[in-house]
Amino acid sequence: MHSGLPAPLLDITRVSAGYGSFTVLRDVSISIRPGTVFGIIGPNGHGKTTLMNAISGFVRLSKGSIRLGGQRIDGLPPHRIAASGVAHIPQGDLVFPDLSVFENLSMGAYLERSAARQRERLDYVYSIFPKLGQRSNQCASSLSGGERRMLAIGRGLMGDSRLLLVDEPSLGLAPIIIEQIYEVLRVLKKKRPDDSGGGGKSCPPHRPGR
Amino acid sequence: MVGSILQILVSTLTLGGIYAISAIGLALLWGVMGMLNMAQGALMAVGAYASVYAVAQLGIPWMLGLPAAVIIGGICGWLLFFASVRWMLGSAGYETNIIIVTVGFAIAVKSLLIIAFSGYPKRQPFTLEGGFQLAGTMVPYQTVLIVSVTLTLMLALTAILYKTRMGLAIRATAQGRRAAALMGVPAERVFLQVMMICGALAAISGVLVSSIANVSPALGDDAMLKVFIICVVAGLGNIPGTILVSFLLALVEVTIQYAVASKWGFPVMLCAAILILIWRPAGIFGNERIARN
Amino acid sequence: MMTTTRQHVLLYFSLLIALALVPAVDSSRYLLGQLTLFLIWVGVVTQWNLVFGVAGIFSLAQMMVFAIGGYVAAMLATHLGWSMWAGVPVAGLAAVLASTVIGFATLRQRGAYVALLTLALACAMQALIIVDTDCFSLDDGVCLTLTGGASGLSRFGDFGFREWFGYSYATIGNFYLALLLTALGSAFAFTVINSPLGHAFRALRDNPVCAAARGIDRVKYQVMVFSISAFFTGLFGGFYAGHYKAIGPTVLDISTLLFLLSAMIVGGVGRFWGPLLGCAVLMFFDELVKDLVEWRMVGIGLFTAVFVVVCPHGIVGLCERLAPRTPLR
Repeated sequence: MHSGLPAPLLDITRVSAGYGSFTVLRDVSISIRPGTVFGIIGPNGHGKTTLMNAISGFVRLSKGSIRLGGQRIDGLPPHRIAASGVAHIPQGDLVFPDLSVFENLSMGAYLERSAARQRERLDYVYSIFPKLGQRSNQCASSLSGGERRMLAIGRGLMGDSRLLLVDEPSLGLAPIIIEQIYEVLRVLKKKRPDDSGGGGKSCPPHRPGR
Repeated sequence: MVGSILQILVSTLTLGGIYAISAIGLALLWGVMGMLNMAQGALMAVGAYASVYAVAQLGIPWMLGLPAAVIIGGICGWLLFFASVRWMLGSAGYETNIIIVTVGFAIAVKSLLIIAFSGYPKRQPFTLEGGFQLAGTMVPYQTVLIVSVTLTLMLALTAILYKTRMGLAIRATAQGRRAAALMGVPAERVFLQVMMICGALAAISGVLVSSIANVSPALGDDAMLKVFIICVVAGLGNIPGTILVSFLLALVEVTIQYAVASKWGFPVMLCAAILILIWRPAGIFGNERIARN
Repeated sequence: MMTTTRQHVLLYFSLLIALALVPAVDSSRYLLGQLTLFLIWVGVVTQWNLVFGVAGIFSLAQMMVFAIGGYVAAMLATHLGWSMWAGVPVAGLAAVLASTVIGFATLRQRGAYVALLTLALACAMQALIIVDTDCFSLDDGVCLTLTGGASGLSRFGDFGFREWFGYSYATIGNFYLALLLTALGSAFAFTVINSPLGHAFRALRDNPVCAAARGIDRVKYQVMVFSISAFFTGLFGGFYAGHYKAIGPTVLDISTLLFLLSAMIVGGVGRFWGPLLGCAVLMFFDELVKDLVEWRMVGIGLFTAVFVVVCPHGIVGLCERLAPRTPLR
């Protein structure tokens, strides 16, 4: 087994990226160890979302590399990066509006072939967000903003991920719901049930609001 | 009176079923990849000829003409994807360019069919002779065959879309390409599946249309236009609505043909569709949110 | 920028003037006939480009507007004995009127819905013309239907160049008339593109929400362009009827519509040069493959499809990529 410091789960090395000729990220290096929470804080328009999109493959790098558990993931298409163990809960939630809550959560476990494991994760998500359990057959577009955020986070937890990216988890929510969401993220760090395969711990670098 | 009502109902079921099969394919393509497939008519013709060729040249039983059409239709969908959509999705002007590209391929395919099989109409072997009496009305066995094929297909499609993992991925991709990719769905594979399903549906629809008319390279042209209108009247991309409107517009067309004159069926159906669209700009079952820009 | 725009306009109109010299070199009926048809299509596609590429209206009613112009001129000549010179301007006005009605009925919708609804309208018009078999007037005891039904209207007067200058000058006269109409239509299109209306559309296309917030009413402006451009489309329809001394429901065939749509997209949607280049390339290609007989349509279909896949921005887009210093919208 490893001795001393564990190897980094996510290793971002001297990354530059942007849109067209416009560079947003310049020479960014970050290293995140398994089992930790990493926060990225900054004002609007400073590249936080761009960084996350670069990790999950929506923004191409012009320089540098990104490794997950030692494997290079930059340059892979987004669905391959998701398959390698990155769960990205995007800004604006992007839930599937005309799918039911249950179907949305099933999509989160799209890559999980075992029905038993899917069932287990679904029970887990319903246990931390009981509201989703009550509304499992409801259309996602009929949920309130807070419920939709819970659904997005729940969907992110359905997969077999090693790294959880949460983009603006508190954006646009009432303070009382923000409290609930952060409580859940806090609990998550401790008791994610199924990290048996990957060896790492779930690691949610989230961004508190200002 | 009862006799003619029954006659109208039987014709509506036949025609509506055929429209529905083709319309579902178009609705899926629009919903998932924003694509107006103008090659639908050509794909229908290809399906009809595939059945003719397989039965006449390979000597397989007539029943197997339909599976032969499905296979060829699926292959055509595959080819169309890699010859066009694959390179165009997401580019500027995609929605208009894809129309021209599919039209171009449709023209080429129809001309190839004329070269290969000559333009003379042929008989579709996928047919049942005879019929039975029902309340004084003659119901051809062919009608029963068409209705059972279309019903089976609709049930199978519903099962695929709403009960399988592939169907879930297709619906999710239609609603959010980016979010689906975040879930690990390979968008390209979903698009390919949808194109192949649509090609197969068009081919089946072509076999059925030609079984009540003739096999000719232009057999899909009129049907394609009607099917497009059905799709917009229902609201583009809405599958249950598309099925309902298929039967509704078939009913209008058949009733006018019986009650007034057969030549008025098509123009009246078009005018009805236009009025519905002026009244409800996004279709009967569409909503403004889904109407794409 | 100003100078390049002026250079483009100068070049465009010099080309038209060069075309005017063609009859001096070669006045064969076939060549002039094809050039006249070319000019008609350039004129129609130029107006369509205004509607489609500049105003962003996904309209497939262009050939319907064209047919309305053609039919009005032909019906006035057939039933009322009007001269073409009077009929063609009325055809243009009738097209404006019809377009305004079509515009208000369809333009509340967007994108593909507009496309399919306008296509349905065009097909409905064709279907209604074909089923028209009731006598409208009698000509020497021969029954004439209002629209001529499936076979269309024919045997009405032309522009009279034959009577004035003699048989051989009819083609040349029609050619120059087409050239004049095309020049006027292009000048009109160019004016609209560079007018406040054109800027409003650029704003609407680039940022619809912001433009709406600044008081640009999409539907109002779209109906305006749709109606005004219909004037020239209707004129060309009337001219077409007078040139061929016939008009029939085949002008509403989807294949004609799609040929012109291909010309617009192959040329470059929303670009000043697009219609001219697109029509030239497609008609030239058509001439090239004419001898292939049955393989001709295969060639045209594949050429168009592959061209659009490879160059989605058309010839103009291709030129800009090769020589990036010549932008003109």
